[in-house]
Amino acid sequence: MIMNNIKYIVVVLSALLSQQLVAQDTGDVLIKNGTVITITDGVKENTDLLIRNGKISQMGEGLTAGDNVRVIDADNMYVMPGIIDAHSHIAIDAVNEATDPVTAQVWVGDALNPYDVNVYRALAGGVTISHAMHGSANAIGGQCETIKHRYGVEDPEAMRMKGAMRTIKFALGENPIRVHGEGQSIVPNTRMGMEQVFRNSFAEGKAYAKAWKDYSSGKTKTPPEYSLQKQTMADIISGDIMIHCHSYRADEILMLMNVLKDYGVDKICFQHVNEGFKVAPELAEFGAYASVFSDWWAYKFEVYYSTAYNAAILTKNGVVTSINSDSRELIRHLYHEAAKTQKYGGLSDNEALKLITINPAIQLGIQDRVGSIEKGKDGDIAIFNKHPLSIYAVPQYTIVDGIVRFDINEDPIDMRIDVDPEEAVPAFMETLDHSEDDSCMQGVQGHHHSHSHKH
Amino acid sequence: MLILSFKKLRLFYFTAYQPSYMKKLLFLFPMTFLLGIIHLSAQIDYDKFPEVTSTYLINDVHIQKSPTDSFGLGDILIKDGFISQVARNITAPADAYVIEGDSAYVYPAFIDALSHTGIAKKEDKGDRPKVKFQGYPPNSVVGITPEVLAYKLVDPSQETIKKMKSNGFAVSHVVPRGKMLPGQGSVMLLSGETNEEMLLGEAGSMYFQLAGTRGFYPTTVIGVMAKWRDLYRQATYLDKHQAVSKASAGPAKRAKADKSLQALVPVTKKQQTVFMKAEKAKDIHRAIALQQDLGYKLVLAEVKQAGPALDKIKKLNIPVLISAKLPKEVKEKGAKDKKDKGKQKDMDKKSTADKNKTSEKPAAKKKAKKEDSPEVKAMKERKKKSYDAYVGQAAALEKAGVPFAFSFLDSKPEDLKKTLKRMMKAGLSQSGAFAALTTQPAKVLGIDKQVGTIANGKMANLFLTTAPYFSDDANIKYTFVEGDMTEFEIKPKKKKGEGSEDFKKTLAGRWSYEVETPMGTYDGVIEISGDEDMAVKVISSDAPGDPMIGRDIEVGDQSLTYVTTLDMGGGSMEMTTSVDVDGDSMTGTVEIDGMGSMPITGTKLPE
Repeated sequence: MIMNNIKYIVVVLSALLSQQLVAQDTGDVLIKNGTVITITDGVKENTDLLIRNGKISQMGEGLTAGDNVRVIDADNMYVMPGIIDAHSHIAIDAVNEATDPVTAQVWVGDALNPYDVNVYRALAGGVTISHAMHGSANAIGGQCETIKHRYGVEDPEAMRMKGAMRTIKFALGENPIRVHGEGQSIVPNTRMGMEQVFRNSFAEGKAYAKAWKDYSSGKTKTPPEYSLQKQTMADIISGDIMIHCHSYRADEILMLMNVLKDYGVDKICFQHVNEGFKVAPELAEFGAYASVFSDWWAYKFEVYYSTAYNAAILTKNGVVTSINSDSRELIRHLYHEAAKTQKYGGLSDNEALKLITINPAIQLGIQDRVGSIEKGKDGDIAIFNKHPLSIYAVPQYTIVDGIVRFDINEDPIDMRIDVDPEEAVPAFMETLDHSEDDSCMQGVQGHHHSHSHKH
Repeated sequence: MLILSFKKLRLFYFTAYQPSYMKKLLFLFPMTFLLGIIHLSAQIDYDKFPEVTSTYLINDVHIQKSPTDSFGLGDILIKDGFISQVARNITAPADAYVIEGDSAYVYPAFIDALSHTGIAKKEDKGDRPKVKFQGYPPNSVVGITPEVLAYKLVDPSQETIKKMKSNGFAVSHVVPRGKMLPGQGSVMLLSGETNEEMLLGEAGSMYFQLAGTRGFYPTTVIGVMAKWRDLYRQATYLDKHQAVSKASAGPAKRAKADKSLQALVPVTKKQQTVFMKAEKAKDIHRAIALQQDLGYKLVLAEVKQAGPALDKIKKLNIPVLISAKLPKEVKEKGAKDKKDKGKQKDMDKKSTADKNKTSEKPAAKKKAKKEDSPEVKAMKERKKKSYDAYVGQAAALEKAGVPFAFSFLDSKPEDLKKTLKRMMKAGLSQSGAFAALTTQPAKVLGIDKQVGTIANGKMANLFLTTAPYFSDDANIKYTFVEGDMTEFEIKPKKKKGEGSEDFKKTLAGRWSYEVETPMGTYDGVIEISGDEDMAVKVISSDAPGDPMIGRDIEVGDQSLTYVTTLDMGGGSMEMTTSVDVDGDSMTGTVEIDGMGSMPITGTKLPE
């Protein structure tokens, strides 16, 4: 009894002391009689799923949860883990700090925009988590942020997936060369120069880490000059940050893996990686991940040598592969994109669904918490009326941390949260236009839509 | 002593120029000649009423001592810049200048918690600085100048200072204009011949905006936030480094000198507070995120959307300065001008009377809008809600128990009363409004012991109005700043509401105009049609083919106001023209946003 009281006091005190500025909203939901696609443990028909306090607490038959818990009748429906998009640019107010080939110090997590209605639209496609990335204007771009689609919250802090691994954007090839080499007449103006930019930055990061180690151990008396950029490079070397690298050509992919080997860096996910099929065994051997489009290429010179079999070839070679959107439009039907790997490459249902669930979770370092339906994992769920790989599939409910954030039956016309008090109403109508400004090249000076591309 | 001698000097000059003092002029000539040399360098305002005494007695006035303390009728004795007594029936000292208050109203003068008062806008020549690497520009190119002190930029003769004073202000916390880190703030008295004389004290403030510079690092908001983290931590280590170098007996590598970082050291030591412009909720969250990350003292400024961040602000007890600018008022009558048709009309409810009137006019009938679709209606409703939240921000803060003051980065002091009234209509209390302009800014700026209320020993900063401040016919007649009195001319009261139909007929027609600008005189023709829908067309002689259309047209009793936009290819300039009309002639001013005003005259052309 006394012990219990003490425990209680300790719990209350620590809760008070932690001074949480943002209370994380979680909820309870009971999903009845669905066909549950667990991803990691097969498909379970006529199964109930109970989410308590935002976590999956029970799976089985005949579950009950009490009167106050919302019950979703998923009879004849398919229940799968919330879809995860390993490459997007939604919910951020800045994409490219395109002023320098290396901007490791910037972080898109600083500019989260919880009001972006594209988050809701992504929910309507069953997507519960996306990787909000810096753009590809710089060789070493900014740090990215893994966000949970808690549409409705107004505090940017509440959008973050707390505890998710830190990630950073790298970019190879034409984009950084055009922006900096051609744009500023500085290194990198060639693919050789690109390699040098990476090597210089890693070398600086390594020297920086040593200088600070010497200072904190008392070996040197005066502090080194602080640099958030070099500190970030040091954090990559120490394994705290996973690289997500915009890439197309096989030769460059091999180049970067060689650079990383020299600095002992092993956490990398290649993005787009259209020529990944050429170097799939090498990627697998390195332990690199790949996040690809299903069937999208030829939007610029370096992206001509491509195939819709890319995801399947990478998968069959043992590369942890995902399919991403890099677009606020594609993000709404990633399940279709995944299904294309069955047409091109003959992946099984589970292999195809892994491309948009557990595999992107691995690539973001969050596979212990999401990406499959398992007891104890986050209550992030997408419910479809048909099998999600069917062309007739329509998302019905999307649940994040046990809270129903999208319900097709309650889907009002105007889902904006923040409305400009001075806007002209027609301006809103204009924003309905699907102009494709989520490009990786957003914010790059001299970048015009006439020759715009997304990747 | 120096100040005193200047003041005496002014007296001499004043007397010297009066014809009845011609004899004195002759007598004083040699002395004035001598002092005149100093005089010119001090740039004394000849037109100003001379201070013959530093003792004033304001008799028989209603005294609002503080936002919540109303003294009732009484007298105020001011001596040497301070309030020496507030009581009933004070006997006038022999040297006192006596103002017969005649049951007027006296309030503590307002304090502007953040503005650019007295600091001219920098002319943007559009030159692209020559910088080798976009990623490593010099600090000055990207607006990182924390070493700049605001008071040094203040021009005591600037129009904005007079405007603030004529609207009841005595103190402004001014910050430099610019981009990311424009510099340090200064608390200025709105009286004094030089900027140093105006300086009440360094505010201990550093002004910070999430404003990047196009083409150079930092450009984006993420760049600015990363740069701030870098600068802040570099300043922290610079201080440590210097301490080590100082204490070290052996050789210690010297820290590189850096005036920007050096200027930030007091911020890192919590000796200075960061005043951060944070208009929207997202900006507020970002400002707080940085503060939580680095741990300095923070004041949120120019806040326009506190609502979604209110809990956080309250929990962390962060001082708030809300913007004194509100969105254009939604009037409860039909919007008349063209620009409004798309923007504002949606929220207007045409009165039945208006409808009847329009139905008589075939021209107006044609313009009758078709019914909105349910979607558009719903959108307009949402916009209205957002508008209400904006106007109701002050009331919401008051209700939540979050004290706030006003910042004036984006608003005109002459609009203040109107703005306050709208906020009060949305629920803000009168005492809350006064507190936000007196006691609360004093507290935020750390000068509440000196200013903010009318009490013995406080600085004599107050203003006198002819009626209760918020009443329609109240006019500010005197403003005292540190006991320095300025008297304002009260213009004859104009009739409220729209001008009469007769007057509109007088206006209708073609007017020639001339505007005096620093670049010379500009002229042209103003075409006014005075029917139901007033229309103003300004045809400049320089560009007769490209007339400007007036909007926000307001017709007073014998006055006309309208706004035009001058398109300058790439940029544009908003100009507000206000003229008083007397028969066939008009006189008034053309005001360019933030740049001051220029006189305009006009004559009606024969039909």
